[in-house]
Amino acid sequence: MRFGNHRYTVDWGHLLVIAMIAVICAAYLRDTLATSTHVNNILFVLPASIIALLLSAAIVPQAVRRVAESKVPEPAQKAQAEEDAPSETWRDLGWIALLVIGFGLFVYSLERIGFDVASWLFITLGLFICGERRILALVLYPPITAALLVFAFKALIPYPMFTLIL
Amino acid sequence: MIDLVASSAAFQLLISSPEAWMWVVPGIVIGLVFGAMPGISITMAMAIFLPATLYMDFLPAIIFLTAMYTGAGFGGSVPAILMNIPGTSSAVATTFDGYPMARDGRHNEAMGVALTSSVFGMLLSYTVLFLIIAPLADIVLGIGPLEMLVIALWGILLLGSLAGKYMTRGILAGVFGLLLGTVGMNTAGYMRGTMGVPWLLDGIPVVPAMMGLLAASQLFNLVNAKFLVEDESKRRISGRKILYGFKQAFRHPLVILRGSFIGVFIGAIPGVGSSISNLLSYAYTKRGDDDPESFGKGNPKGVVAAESANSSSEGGAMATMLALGIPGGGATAILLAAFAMHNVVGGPSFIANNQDIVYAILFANFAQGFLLLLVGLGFVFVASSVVRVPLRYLVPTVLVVACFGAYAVDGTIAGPITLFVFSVIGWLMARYGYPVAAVVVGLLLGGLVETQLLRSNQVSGGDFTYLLERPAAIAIIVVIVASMSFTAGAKQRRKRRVMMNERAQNGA
Repeated sequence: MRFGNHRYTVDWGHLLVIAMIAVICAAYLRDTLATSTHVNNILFVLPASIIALLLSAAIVPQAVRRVAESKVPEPAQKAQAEEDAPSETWRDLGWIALLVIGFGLFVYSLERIGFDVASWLFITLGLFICGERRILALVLYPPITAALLVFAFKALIPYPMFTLIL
Repeated sequence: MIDLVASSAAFQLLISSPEAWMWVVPGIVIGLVFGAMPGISITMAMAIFLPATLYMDFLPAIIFLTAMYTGAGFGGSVPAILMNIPGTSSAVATTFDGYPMARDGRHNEAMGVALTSSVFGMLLSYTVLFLIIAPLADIVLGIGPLEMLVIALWGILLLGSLAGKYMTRGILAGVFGLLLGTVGMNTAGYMRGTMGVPWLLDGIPVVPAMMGLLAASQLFNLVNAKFLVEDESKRRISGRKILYGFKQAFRHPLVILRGSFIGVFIGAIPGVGSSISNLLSYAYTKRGDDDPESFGKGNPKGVVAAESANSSSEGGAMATMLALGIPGGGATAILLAAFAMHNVVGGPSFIANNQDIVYAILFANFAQGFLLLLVGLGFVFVASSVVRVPLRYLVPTVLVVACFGAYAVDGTIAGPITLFVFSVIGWLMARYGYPVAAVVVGLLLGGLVETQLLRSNQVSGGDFTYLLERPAAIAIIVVIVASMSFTAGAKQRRKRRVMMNERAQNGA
């Protein structure tokens, strides 16, 4: 990316994380001020949010770096950039994203299809995502583990757990 | 200081109650198992077994419950080391070096180090308590909201400044955690940040958030790995290596001693206690070390520092409970409930009138420490087999266990939802070098920090000169400023040295 006479590299992922933190803090501050501006309400949240926003602004230059105009980058700058960059490939990231989505769906389905069936399905999906391809393992391990976990937690915790089969 | 008559009466009491000793090993095992299960807190275990103690005499009942408490103190470290899941909030700092050691195939050593430091930290703390239980109670009574506020900030700022490479990212993570910790209704009755979600009125559920930030986020990264320990030859469970870990812990007696003292004194403060003590001990060990860069990458000293402090804070919390009748957390609250069930009223009069029982409890805890060493060794041996399980089985199974554990906190879907949201936040933050542990501690202490700030404001009437009347708070603030400046300076110096070395190498 080029601004004026200088070229910049942007770590978009890092910038997204900074934006996420800043947006959450700003939204929380806005909600707090909307609730009441009484000192008992804002005494902590106001200064803490301002500090968080200032720190977020201070970190932005770490995600947006100016590239040296010389053809060979400074060694320290190069080492820093290499050290800061996450090491996964896009393929690795794809599997991680799939597991995250699967985990989200598992949480969503717990009270809809029951802890037992949801766990069975999620463990099967998780096994596949993590590299298990043997049919026998995919068929046997998930229901047995799901059943054992459901029975164990049902015995341990004092709250009811919604299940479809067990 | 030590009442010899009461001490000998305590010995007689323990010798004449063989029934009390029968409950120690089962108590320790229950504590280890429950402490090692994420989400199933020791408070829940003690609450489940509390009714059973109704049919016991007073001393066996208390010894059974304290044995569970002792077992859980170490139990929480087992998943912290093996899976980066702190079983309890006091095991957060154990994950910093324990988990990298496990990933490096040094899980046997890490467990040995943790068990030894935990036991000896605890023994030291009870020795200290035996000597100073009465004066410690006076110190705790002198601690006001301002002191509690600065101690909580001390912990969070130290962690933020020390963990990770960038101080700004660490402090931002800490402040972000503190803000999230104040979501919901504050002590003055104002509701903020709930987004209309009823269960957020009580704040963000801390245990599921902690599991999401530290554990689930890490599990996502293991999708493409085959085993927790990649090198097959390092996956063996070796008693010899566990014993080597034992010896390793004793190579750092000063770290154990410092951790124990921090644990006793910080642990004695209700509400702050063990969540902070392990971080303070870790931070000071890292700072004082010749090679601070090796921390967070599998330095056993980090495990020693964290474990000696969190186990000894159990002693501190017991002191406050026995001397003042103030429970520092859920587990000591249940102990107090057990007192009440046996018609014993805790508090200052209890320690004055029943010094023999107080000493008997302290001695019994001492014995529990030694028994934990033996029982814990067997437990560690079994638990360590987790490194031999292929990750393709471990990752989805542990995610399900974490989810069930999050549900077990209050029996609502709020736990699993929080777990999921924070696992994504934790994964994103960890990916870009933000210390998620700082967010966790911020979350744990956010409510407390705000409450103490409000109380300080009310007590002082908004007058800043009130600070001058609180020398202890001033002393802690001076320590915070000095240690932050020292850390910032050391980080700058290190960065400059690295750059100069690189320049020199390129020039040559």
